[in-house]
Amino acid sequence: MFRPQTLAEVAQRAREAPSEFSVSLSEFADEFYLDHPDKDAQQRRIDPVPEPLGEPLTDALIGAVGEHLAQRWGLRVPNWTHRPDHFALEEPYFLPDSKALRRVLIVESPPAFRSRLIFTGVEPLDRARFPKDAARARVPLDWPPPPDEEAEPAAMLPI
Amino acid sequence: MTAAKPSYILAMKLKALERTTIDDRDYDDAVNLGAECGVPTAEGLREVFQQFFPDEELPPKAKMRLEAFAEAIRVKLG
Repeated sequence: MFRPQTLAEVAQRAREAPSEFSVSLSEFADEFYLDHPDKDAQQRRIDPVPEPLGEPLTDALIGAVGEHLAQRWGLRVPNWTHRPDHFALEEPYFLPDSKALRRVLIVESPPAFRSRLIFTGVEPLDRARFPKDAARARVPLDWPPPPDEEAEPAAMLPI
Repeated sequence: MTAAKPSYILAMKLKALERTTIDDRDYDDAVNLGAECGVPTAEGLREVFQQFFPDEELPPKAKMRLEAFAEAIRVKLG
């Protein structure tokens, strides 16, 4: 089976095989990262409008990923990400679902996820194919930060 | 070609727990490896990490999850 080329295709896959949503999303992220630094190609991967599934968590994740990738990589945020279907979660979700990490995820979760009641890590789509020349976002958890974190202020996000 | 020891891969996965992603794939892999290596306690996991990374501390997020992680390995082992 082909890797999904757009977020809309991820949604389509999720409709056909809900259990494969996570894998499809990861495969899509790989394709997105392989386009780096071609912004036009990356924009074409998030622009096609996905059909809502009617499943609040999946729809929220698809909206969050579309908005987050645009904000994270300097693209235009697609209008479809603002549809109510992508803001239908009534309760917060922690991804990963770890009680021990909740205090961290509440702080780290990027705005596109937080606004949809999804709490996750600061770089929630980190993959082996994440562009090597791009600094990964970090939130310092210790104070004072270790020396290597002090040396990379541009890679940190404000809390 | 030489295959890496499962305990070394487990130590690498513990290090990778610093990355917190939606799919949490490193965690599931680490639980499977922990079961394969027969390391069902937080202290044992710390020792595996120190064996291969003697000059490093476990990443903060890995430390936070260590007890739950050991519990998940125990459940897997039955």
